[in-house]
Amino acid sequence: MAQIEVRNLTKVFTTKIATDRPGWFGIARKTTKSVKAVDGITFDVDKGETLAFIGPNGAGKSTTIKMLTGILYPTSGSVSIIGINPWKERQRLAFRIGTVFGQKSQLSFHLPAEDSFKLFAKIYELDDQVFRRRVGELVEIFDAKDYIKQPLRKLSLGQRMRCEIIASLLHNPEIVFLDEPTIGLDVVAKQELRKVLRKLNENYNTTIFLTSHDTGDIDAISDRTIIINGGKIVFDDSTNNLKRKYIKTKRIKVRFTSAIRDIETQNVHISRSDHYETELEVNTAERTIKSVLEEIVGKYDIADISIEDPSLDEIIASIYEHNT
Amino acid sequence: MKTRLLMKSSHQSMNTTLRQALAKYTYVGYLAYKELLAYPASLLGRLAIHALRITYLGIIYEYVFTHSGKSAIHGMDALHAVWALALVQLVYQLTGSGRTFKHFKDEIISGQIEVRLNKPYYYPLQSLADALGQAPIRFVLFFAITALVLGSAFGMPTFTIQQKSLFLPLLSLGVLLFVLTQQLLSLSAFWIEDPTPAWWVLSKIAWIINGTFIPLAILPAYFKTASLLFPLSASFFLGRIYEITDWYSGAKFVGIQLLWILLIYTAIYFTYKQGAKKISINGG
Repeated sequence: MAQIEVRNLTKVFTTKIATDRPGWFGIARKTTKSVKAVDGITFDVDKGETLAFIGPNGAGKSTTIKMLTGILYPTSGSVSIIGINPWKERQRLAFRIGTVFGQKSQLSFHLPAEDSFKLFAKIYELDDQVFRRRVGELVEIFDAKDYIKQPLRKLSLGQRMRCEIIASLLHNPEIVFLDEPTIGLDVVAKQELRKVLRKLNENYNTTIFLTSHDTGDIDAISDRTIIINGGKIVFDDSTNNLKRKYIKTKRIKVRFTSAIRDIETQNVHISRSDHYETELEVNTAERTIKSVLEEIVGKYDIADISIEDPSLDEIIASIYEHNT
Repeated sequence: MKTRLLMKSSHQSMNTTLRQALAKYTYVGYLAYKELLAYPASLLGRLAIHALRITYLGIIYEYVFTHSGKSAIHGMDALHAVWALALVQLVYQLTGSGRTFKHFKDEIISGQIEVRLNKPYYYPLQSLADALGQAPIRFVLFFAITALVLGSAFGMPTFTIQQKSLFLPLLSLGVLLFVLTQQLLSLSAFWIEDPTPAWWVLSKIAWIINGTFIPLAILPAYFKTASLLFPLSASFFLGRIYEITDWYSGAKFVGIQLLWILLIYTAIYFTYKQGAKKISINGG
């Protein structure tokens, strides 16, 4: 049985918007507008899966995660998280899931994270022995020992995010929902956070449900990817298949030992070139990588060569365009 | 084994005992107390403003009584008038002067409430514990400064046995009622864009009929009647402690406060239930 079961989930927001009527009273007049943020989505997530739930701004990612965690009531459809209806039994569910909202802190800004951890131990009704052992483990995994005694306001964004995640894992949740956990972090902090999330999944078999704008998160953390656009699911498959299906081009970077005036090759797009370096885009449907490499190696003196896939950003952009 | 232990702990939590619930909310209160002490300069500043305010009011009332040639108005002399005002100010200070309204309303408007909703506690009680957690230390500090300033400048008033006995009940229930009233008002943020103007209007009306600047005892009788019908005013019955002449009059004040607490808490329960369903935090 799946841990997360979502069936025909729909959420319509009704918002008031200003009218364009002229005059003094025109600005006071408002009309209502309905926006279908999530439009009948259906999917399952099994225990221990790492799922990336991605999409552009306004696609319905955050609205979905908020319905799955019981914060928002859906307009229609059903959700079962570990057999629990999130919005009917919100508190019961809260004992079994962890949530991290990248843009909203659950810790006290004025106090050290350690104090907030103790509060969470009380909130989740952990006994002292279990809490001490668990916080010790997590602080070690997240390498947070040096700063959990400092007031949160004095920590860097990356340190704060680590503390947020520790707080959500204290009660050993079966599923962790992370909404944009790497937002605003620098490259190093992002990489470290991705590593620990992966470790968390491997060590505890914790199901990870992640929304993100950052395709690096998906690459590093998730085995499966769901792409949502306009409230509808446009892709649901393994992250490897996502890359395989949508990678139609390969990028070859070549560095020459001596200056080359003009590189010439057939059925290959030259995306960047100077005398010592060039970047080629090869459509593998039109020409094999082997033949391109043979041609280049035969014609020029090569100092270095590398072959890369296009970034996940580009792959996703092509799916969005295809489904728009 | 480690994981099993932790899971056992989580599943046991489905049936929260009273002891566990008390531990949760007590710790929320304890952290609020720590937060207050995390900014000592801010606290000292508030104490200084409180001392200046009550001294200023004391000087005005002493001057008015001296120059009017009356030793008492409706049985209240200058010393009791000053102390009545100071006790009303004390209730304000114990609740952080509208801190609960601001926090609760801001969390609803900003969507920060979403991180509260998916925690295994009842958010209005969490907010209440946060407000009350600071009250004891605020009481010690603000009562001490009140007694020091007013005692040395104007003298200490005398209290009857009934007044002494009802001092803490009137203060505690008043603080509780004031916090609950703020919560109820802030819950309107689920429906309207910003309830701050409503809070301003109501708190200013309350200023007049709860004796913030003029003791109710020396105002016309209909002000006293109006204050009985207004929960914000009932929060400040401590300022009317000198009207308690027997157990019956004291019990009347406490009874009215209890009635308002019951009514307002019931209103909070239903309003919050409906409000939580109305949350529409669109986007991240």
